[in-house]
Amino acid sequence: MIKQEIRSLVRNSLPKIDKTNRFADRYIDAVIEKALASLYHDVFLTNPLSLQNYTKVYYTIGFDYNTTGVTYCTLPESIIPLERKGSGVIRVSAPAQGQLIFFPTDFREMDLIANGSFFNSVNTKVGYAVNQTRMELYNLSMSIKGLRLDLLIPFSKYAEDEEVKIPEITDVIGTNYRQVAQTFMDRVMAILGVVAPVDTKDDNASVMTNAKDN
Amino acid sequence: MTDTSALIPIEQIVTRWLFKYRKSVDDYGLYVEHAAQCYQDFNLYDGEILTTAKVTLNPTLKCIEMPDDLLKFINLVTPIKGGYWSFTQNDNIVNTTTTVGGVETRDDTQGEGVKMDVDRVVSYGAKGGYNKFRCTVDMAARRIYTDNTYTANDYMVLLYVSSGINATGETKVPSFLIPVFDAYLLWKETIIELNLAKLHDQRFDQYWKEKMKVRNLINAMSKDEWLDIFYSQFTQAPQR
Repeated sequence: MIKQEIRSLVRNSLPKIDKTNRFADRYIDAVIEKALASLYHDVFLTNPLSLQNYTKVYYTIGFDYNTTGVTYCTLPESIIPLERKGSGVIRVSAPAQGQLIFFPTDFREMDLIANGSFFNSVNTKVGYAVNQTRMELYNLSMSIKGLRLDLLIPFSKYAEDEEVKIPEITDVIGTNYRQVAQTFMDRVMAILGVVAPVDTKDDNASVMTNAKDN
Repeated sequence: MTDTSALIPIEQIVTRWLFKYRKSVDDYGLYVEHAAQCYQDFNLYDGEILTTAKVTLNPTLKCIEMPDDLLKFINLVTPIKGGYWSFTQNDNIVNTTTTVGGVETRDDTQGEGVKMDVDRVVSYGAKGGYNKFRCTVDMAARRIYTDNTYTANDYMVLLYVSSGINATGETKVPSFLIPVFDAYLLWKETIIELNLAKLHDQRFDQYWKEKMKVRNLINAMSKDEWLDIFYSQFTQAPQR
């Protein structure tokens, strides 16, 4: 489904209180974003390799060097942080698809590797460590014209007519971990269902007016 | 048609392992480090891969400086009629040095670099025979001392075990070691991933089995080698 269809599905699944009070789009989007992020997290727990199915691909992203010699690229979009190296940057590759060239690492590992390791002697690949806004590259010596980034991005960052893939998982089975999971709509309704529409105008106003909010 | 290469890069060992065991690439760097450690262990304890290096005696200090990558000294040899003659380790060669005017040298009066047992060359055939090619291995100083018998013009060859990890170029390993690496990485995974701790002993056993399999492979003698030993025991009977 495209983004606006998902929002519409949620809106039409909500009980109508009266003709004037409605849920604000931004509020519904925020709830969807939260529900989706929790679903992505469950996918990560269940099978991290499947996260690739829910990524958005950005092509020919340039990178730069700063004065301290750090090679980095600014993330083209905000990401959903996950408890893994690389966070919401699921895959980095050269424009030409092929062998593994980039691998996720973290800043702790980058520091340790540089302080003496076999890895530093034998490695020919490029590590990438991610923070909130940018990605730093380790050992980038080859000439690559732009990067391809597969990112897990929040619902709010999709365009209205862009397709958003929703994981349809009902059970979360990780190592030593199993629970019955709620579906996407279950999670959205669990948040929206307890809030009366009058309180969800996203303007924090204490006095109601007759002006339409959207 | 050619078959796959007998040597593969150590990085490929890890990428193949990630592929075969459906692992994410998140810990790629971590497992490359472990694979390198595995290869060093193999070289040191199981392998047959010796590094051979021509070395030159330092004529002033009467010693040979060990290469930086030497892990385990195996032998010091010198060519003799197309073959090698081995030095015997003798811990009694004086291995101190004297610094004169800030320059490290050796002082004859303190027995440093003096020829040992002059005129007492006794062959093995006689009682009390010894090898007059002797050296003292000083691991702390990373030097091999000889007595004053040799000069920088003597050819000497050092046999030793290195880590096998190439510090400047690509590190390639024998592909028959893939099962050893696989088992080693699976074993290490049980230490890294706490939820796999219960598999630790099982996976260590598998690693040990794979290692023994390779030891058998590289140490096994061929049929001709066995026959050579067998035939060498024969005594020809006189024909009457």
